[in-house]
Amino acid sequence: MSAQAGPGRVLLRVDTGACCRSGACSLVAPDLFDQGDDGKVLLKTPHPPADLIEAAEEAADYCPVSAIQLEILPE
Amino acid sequence: MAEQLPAYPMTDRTCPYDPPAGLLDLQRQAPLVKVQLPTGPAWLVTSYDAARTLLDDPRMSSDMGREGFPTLYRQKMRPVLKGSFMRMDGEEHAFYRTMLAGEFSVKRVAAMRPEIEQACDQLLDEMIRQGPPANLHESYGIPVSSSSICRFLGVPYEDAEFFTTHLEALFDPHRAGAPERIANSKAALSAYLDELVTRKQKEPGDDMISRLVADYLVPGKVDRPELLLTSYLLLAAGHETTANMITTGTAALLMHPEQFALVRDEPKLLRGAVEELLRYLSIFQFGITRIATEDIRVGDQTVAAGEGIIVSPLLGNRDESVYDDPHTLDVRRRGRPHLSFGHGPHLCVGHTLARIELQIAFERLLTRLPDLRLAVTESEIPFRTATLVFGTIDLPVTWGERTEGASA
Repeated sequence: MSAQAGPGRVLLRVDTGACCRSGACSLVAPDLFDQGDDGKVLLKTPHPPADLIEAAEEAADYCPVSAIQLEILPE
Repeated sequence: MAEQLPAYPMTDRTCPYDPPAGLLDLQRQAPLVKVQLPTGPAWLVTSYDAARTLLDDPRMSSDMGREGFPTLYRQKMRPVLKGSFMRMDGEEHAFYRTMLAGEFSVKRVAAMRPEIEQACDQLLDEMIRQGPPANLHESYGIPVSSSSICRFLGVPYEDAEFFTTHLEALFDPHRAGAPERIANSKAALSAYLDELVTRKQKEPGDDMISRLVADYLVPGKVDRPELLLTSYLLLAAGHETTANMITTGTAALLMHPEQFALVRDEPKLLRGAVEELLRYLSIFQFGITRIATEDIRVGDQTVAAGEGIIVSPLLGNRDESVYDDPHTLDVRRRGRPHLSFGHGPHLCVGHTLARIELQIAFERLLTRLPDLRLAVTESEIPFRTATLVFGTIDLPVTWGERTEGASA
């Protein structure tokens, strides 16, 4: 996956059904993810700014159940 | 005649920090290889990718009550008790994780930061007041860990010595008289927690056990033995491991002085340094046990339904296809997430608390005692290589005149 995409070109998606409430995403990328009182993931924005794309990729890799997906949108 | 399988677990380390040579040999047979446990054959997962894939595969069961479940020690198989969530699958497991998830949320754990910092500083004040040398495990590793888990669960810190003694017995299954010792300690801890739950019913505090009593026990969502077992598991799993990481992590930094200096002088490296120490030390050394409920294809092998599987975080964390120079401690490393907390839905529920505790513990220690060093030679540090949790619990350290005052 490339970290070269410009602002708005990456779509961040979370599968809240799959989320196992580990908190790993909010720990590694607190600017992009939060947790509800029940621990479930809350996505702060589906369009991470360019300087947070690396953090988004890291969060996706840290998610123990692969509930976070990054999609590169066509130009 | 069938070839003899390599015996597992292996405990004969040459360099204390590196996996046994025989285990590294098995790594060449990635992604998995058959080994002989004391109770029979099982598959050992040796590669990082296969470890992640399998730990997040619903066909892998954690249910120890299943016939043929792999165990590292000869022990009688018992059905999994209600509340023993680490040994459950699917929805049943998810129920307990949901119950605990809010407690271990990043926000809740981060709110404990000032208290953990204060506890670390008080312990360092005392070490500085008494002067060098000190056994870092007794003076810092153990009390940092026990005061944090006490505060978190709502266990009075005055009782820390009582449960620390009993918890230590659980993690040393090779010691003489271990089975009776373990049984006695389990009973003592269970009786203690039973009394604590009664107290929390009468006088609730701002802590996990109080909230679980109010939200789960009183409305009847869990019964009392279930709550006691869950609390016991959290106490047992969270205490010794974190204490050991603080002490053994410090030993690793002191044995790699350039790494010690980097972490001390560049606070922004701290988070990555903690991750690297978790990877490099892989203290939960023997692995994560599972049983296949269906045939599972892994590489060009098939794990048959009913066969046991052990995922080795120790080998996955040293997989050279994932980590450059995997046997080197490099606090600047920014790599894939390590496997020391596991992966998949069973990822250690306490990883948030453990990570924050470790970040604070190392930050305070290196700030307050910037010229900390070993008070013995490296070869005199006793590393425990045959215990479930690898590491040292005896780390004599010393320091010079240069100490920093506590932060405000």
